This record gives sequence, C-alpha cells and structure tokens, in this order.
Amino acid sequence: MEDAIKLFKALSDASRVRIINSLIDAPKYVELLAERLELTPSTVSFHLKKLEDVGLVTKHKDQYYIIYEICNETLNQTLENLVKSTNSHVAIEDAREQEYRQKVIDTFFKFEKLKSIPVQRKKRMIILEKMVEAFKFDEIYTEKEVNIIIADFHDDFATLRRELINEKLMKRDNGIYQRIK
Amino acid sequence: MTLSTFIQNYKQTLTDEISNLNAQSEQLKIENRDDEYNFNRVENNIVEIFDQMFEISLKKIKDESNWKTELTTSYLSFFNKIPTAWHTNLEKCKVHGLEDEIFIETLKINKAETIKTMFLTMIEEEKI
Repeated sequence: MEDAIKLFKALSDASRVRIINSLIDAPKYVELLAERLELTPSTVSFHLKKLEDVGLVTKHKDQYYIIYEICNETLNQTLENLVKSTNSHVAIEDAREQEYRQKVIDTFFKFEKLKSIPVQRKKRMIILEKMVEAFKFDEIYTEKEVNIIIADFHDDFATLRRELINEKLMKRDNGIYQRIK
Repeated sequence: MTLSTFIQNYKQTLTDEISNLNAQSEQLKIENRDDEYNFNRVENNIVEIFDQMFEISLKKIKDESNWKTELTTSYLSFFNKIPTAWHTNLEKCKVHGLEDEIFIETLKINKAETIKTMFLTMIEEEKI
C-alpha cells in the first residue's frame, strides 16, 4: 500500500507528469529535458529522482550523458492492480484479526466449555460472539431457554445473558429473547 | 552616484526580484507544481533576508563620504555569516542522503550567491 501511495504522490505534480510525457516520446538526458520543458537542470534532476525512487524512470550512462527513460513495467500497471495491492494489506490485517480471535477462543474454551469470563472487554466480546452462535436468527427464546443454552458454556448464565444484551448481540422484549442480526 | 540613488536602485532590484518570484509562485500554484512552488518560496525568503540585511548595513554607515566601502564591508559580512549554517546543514544532509534537503540547502546557498554577485556588480558600476 505504501508503494502505491508513493507512486501516486510522485505523479501528483504537473512538472513530473510533463517529464514522463516527454520521456514516453523518447529517452532524454537532463539538459535536454530542461530545455524542452523550460525548467532548470537542477529542478529536472530533482523531479527525476522522485520518479526514479518510485520506479517510473530508470537511467543509464551513454558516453558523456546519463540518459533517463520510462520504466514501462511500472507505467503500464493498471489502476486496478495498484488498488488490489492496497486490498491485500486489508486481507493481511483481517487474517491477523482472525488469528487473534482464534487464540482467545482456544485460551478461554476447553471442550466447548468456557473456563472463565474474560475481564478485558475485547476478549469478552470475542467469547460472547462465539457463544451467541448457539442461538438461531429469527427464533425467539424464553429466558429459561436462554439460561439453559448459556449454562452449557458456563455456570454464570445470568452474567453472560446480561452481557449478550448489553453488547447488543441479543435483544430482550417482555421476557422474550432474540438474536440480533 | 550618491548613496541615496544607489539605495533606490538596489532596493528596486530586490523589489523587482521579489515581484517576479511572487508572480512565478502564483503561476506554479495554479499549475499544481507544488515542489517548484515551495522552492520559489524558499528563494523569496532568501531575497527578503538579504533585503533586511541591506537595511541593517545602511544603518551602520558612519561616514557617508566613505559609504561604498562601509556598506560593502558590512553587507558582505552577512553573506559570509548567514549561509554558514546552510553549508553545515548541506554537509549533514549529504551524509544522511536526504535528497530533498540537499536540494533546498543548495538552492538557498545559490540564491544568496546570486544576490551577492548582483550587489557587487552594482557597486562596481558605481566605481566606474
């Protein structure tokens, strides 16, 4: 993702876009670019360094000059490819989150029973979300039915029932409970 | 040429330079050439610094009959003193490979040198 952002930043300058356009025509050395684009050679060199850092241009020595040219591999990337590389970062974060959740579940559950109710809210939420899977959507439960289901996990069904309501995983209306979608 | 005429001419030169830089910076902003706009502002600051130093140097003149020597000595001392820090920064930036900072420090040093050359040229013309 950071590479994509650097690339976009490099392109968000009119002079650098003009340099790229000029190099698309043909490779050039600094002084020629400066002359064509009416910039000082030092300014051109500054911009070329930015473009080189993100892989948009490459350089090679040709007798007395250093010639710059477009790196087609970078320039021909589609916007979709650049954006996809951004999404892969999200996928990595999702995977890390899943790993953490599983670790919490493995720590607090033994043989499908809850060993203890976590003190930290984040961990407690993970446990509750695991427990609430025992309830079906679109089905209504009496308080007694809820207590029995929760008791399968842990003796303190009253606290856990209350937490399921507080964390908006279930709702209660006149003694009738339902899982929230 | 009298001191007052020289002051008028030199100040006008600096004012014109600042006006040019301001006009350029407006255009650079419109054209989304942000880096060059920033460079332009840096150069503008340098001109303004040495404009102020010129004012300070004028106040130090004790003997108006010897104004050229006194003014030159006083004013040039600022061109020796002020860029020292920029040269030091430039060397540090080179050591650390800070490309953007190298460019900016070099720009400042070069602009100061340009102003100094301009002043010396105008003072030389006075001696003819």
